[in-house]
Amino acid sequence: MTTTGRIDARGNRFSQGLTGLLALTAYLLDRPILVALLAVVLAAGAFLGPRHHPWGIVFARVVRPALRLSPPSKLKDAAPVRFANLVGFLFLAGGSVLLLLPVAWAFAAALAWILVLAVAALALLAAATDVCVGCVIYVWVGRAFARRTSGA
Amino acid sequence: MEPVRVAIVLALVFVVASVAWLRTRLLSRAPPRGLRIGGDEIAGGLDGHPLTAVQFKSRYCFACRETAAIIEEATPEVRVVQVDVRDAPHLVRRLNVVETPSLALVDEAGRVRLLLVGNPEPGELHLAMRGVWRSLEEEGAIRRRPHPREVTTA
Repeated sequence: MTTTGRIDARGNRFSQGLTGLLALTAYLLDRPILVALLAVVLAAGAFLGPRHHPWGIVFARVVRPALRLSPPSKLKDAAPVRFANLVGFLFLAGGSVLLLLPVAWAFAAALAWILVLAVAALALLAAATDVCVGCVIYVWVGRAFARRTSGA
Repeated sequence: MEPVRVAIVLALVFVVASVAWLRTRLLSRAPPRGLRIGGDEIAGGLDGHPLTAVQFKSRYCFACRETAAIIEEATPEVRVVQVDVRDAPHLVRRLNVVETPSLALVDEAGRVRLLLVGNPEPGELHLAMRGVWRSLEEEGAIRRRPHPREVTTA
């Protein structure tokens, strides 16, 4: 059984919301470098774990004490969230590459911003509804894989 | 700021907000204040048990069996009830269960004290249950006595 730790669901929602808002800002102001920075943030969360997710740290050190939030009442398994961070990182990294490197393709920028907006939409949705699409996909894939290997 | 980009952002925000709103409309069914599980919604009711662990499982959740074993071994004082998500769609909606196993720690009055989503690790489960247990003690719901798992987990 994977032992991956638990995270406060509110911290996850905050991270998703902040990611979504920053992604939208990057698009509005046409700032590819912001996309790249956001990709690094998600990479930290995906590869190093929830304790090293910059927005998670902001939530724990700044938001929670500032708003005097009560102890968490909903704790999520970190593994699906890390997977979602990974997917977000891949999208944003791909977008950054397409935007920052001179790519000889007319639609490179358009594709890049589509990736960024996709991340923004899913992140904001997760912040609003606490349903992280990446997490659900992770669980589905895990179930399908487990079913096949155990022949149940 | 290009006007086209502004328009697209506004459209995106509108779509996300609509989806979120729609989902809330679909989920809420005269929602009671605070998350609650009625005694009549659980086999055997809630009376007589200061804390009930309601575990939501599904057919292909192979982790769920191990979860149940972990809970029962961790806190024998807590009663464990297994609920298949197919049998209790109203509970699934109310508690927003999107993953299994999901574990709801419910007090005798039916108030959901804690909702643990996903596979639990034994150490964290002990910690979480201990926290809830302590709250119950402070409220006088149970007589103060050392929690069965007072042994500190490494």
